[in-house]
Amino acid sequence: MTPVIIKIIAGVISTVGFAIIFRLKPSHWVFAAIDGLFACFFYFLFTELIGGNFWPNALAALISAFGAEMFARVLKAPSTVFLLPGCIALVPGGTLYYTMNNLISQNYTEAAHNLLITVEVGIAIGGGIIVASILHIAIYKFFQRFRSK
Amino acid sequence: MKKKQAVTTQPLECVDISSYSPEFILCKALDIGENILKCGGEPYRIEDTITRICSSYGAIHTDVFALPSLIIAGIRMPDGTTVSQMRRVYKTANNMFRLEAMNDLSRKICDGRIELNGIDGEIENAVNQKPFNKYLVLLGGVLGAGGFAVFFGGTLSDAVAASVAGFFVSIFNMHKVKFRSRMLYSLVVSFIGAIVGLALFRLGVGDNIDMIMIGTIMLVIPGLAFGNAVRDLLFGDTVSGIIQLVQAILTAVMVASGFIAAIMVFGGVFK
Repeated sequence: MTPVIIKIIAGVISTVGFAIIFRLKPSHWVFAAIDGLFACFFYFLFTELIGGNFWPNALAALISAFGAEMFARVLKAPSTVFLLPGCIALVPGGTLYYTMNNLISQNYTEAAHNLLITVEVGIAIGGGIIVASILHIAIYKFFQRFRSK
Repeated sequence: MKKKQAVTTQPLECVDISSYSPEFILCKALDIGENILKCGGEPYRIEDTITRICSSYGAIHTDVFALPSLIIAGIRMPDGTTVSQMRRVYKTANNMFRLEAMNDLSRKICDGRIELNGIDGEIENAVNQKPFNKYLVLLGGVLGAGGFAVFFGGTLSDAVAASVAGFFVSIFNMHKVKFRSRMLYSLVVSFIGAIVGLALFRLGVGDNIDMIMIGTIMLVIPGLAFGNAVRDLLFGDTVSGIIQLVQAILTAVMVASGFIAAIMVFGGVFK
C-alpha cells in the first residue's frame, strides 16, 4: 500500500500536469498546486474521519473550490482557472475504470456498484463547488457591509 | 454567484458611446463572449460579460442566453432601437490563459481603458498569444497520468507506464481541434492510450494494470464536466446543465468503449 503522503504528493504533481494541460499561466501553476494540495489533503483527512464516498469528496471539493475563489479574487482571474485543476484529483476515474472492467467481465453487480459510486462522487463534487461559491459570495458581502459601516 | 448579482454597470462617460451603432456594440460583445465560450468559460460568465459590455456602451436592456454551443443576445438602446444577434460555437477546448485574457479585456472595455473600435486587434493578440511552448503540454500529460497512477495506489513503475501512455494521449490532445466529432476523438484517444498502457504492461513495465489504466483514463474522461453539469443544474441553468450532462455521459461511454476495444485487442490481459 502506498503511504498517504506519497499519494498526496502524486496528487499535487498531477494537478500541476493538468494546470499545464488546461494552459494556465506559468505564474498561476503554484496556486493551482496549492489548491490541489487542499483537495488531496482534505480528501484523505475526511476519508479517515468520516469515511464513505460522498462526504469526503463533497467537503474536499468545497474547500478546494473556496480556495479557488479566494485565489481568483486575490489574483483578479476567473475562478475557473484554479477550480478546474484544483478539483481534478477528486474526479472519479478509478471507479469509472472498475465499472467498465467489471462490465466486460460480465460482473454486473460490481459494475453497477462502481457506476453508482461514480455518479455519487460527481454529484458530491458539483454540490461542494456550489456551496463554496454561495459561501464565498455571502462572506464577501458580509465583509463589504462590515467595511462600509 | 456572480449571476445573481444585478449588473450595475453605468454607461461610460470617458468614451463617446453615441458614435457606436447598436449592431457594432452587440457584435463586438458577442466576439468576446464567443471567445470565452471557446476556451471553456461557463455560460453564466458569458451572460455576465456581454451584459456588462453592452450596458457600459449605453444599452438600457440586455438579454443574453448562452448554451455550450450557442449564444443569443439582444439589446435595447435608449432611443428604442432593438438589435439581436446570435453566434454558434463549434469547437471548445479548455484554455485558461485565453479565458483570463478575455476576462481582462472585457474588464478594460467596461472601465473605458480600451474602446470598442480597437477591440479586433486586441482579441487577435489575445488569441495568438501562447502562455508557453506548445510542446510543454506533453509534459502536462506525462505528469498528470503518472501522478494519478500513484495517487490511486500504484507503484513507481506503474507511474512510468502511465506516463508513457499519457504522452501518447497528449500528442492527440494537441490536435484535438482537428477532430470533427468530439465523441470520435474520445473514442480514438482512449483506444490509443489503453493500447499503449496494455502493450507496456505486456512488456513488463508496471505492476498493476489497473493503476496504469486509471492514470491514463484521467486524461481522457471529461474531467470535471460532470461536476460542472451538476453545478449548472443546481444553479438553475437547466438547459446548459443538461447539455453538459449528456455530453459528459456520452464521452464517458466513448472512453469506456475505447478501453474495452483495446482490452479485446489484447485478448483479456486485464486480469
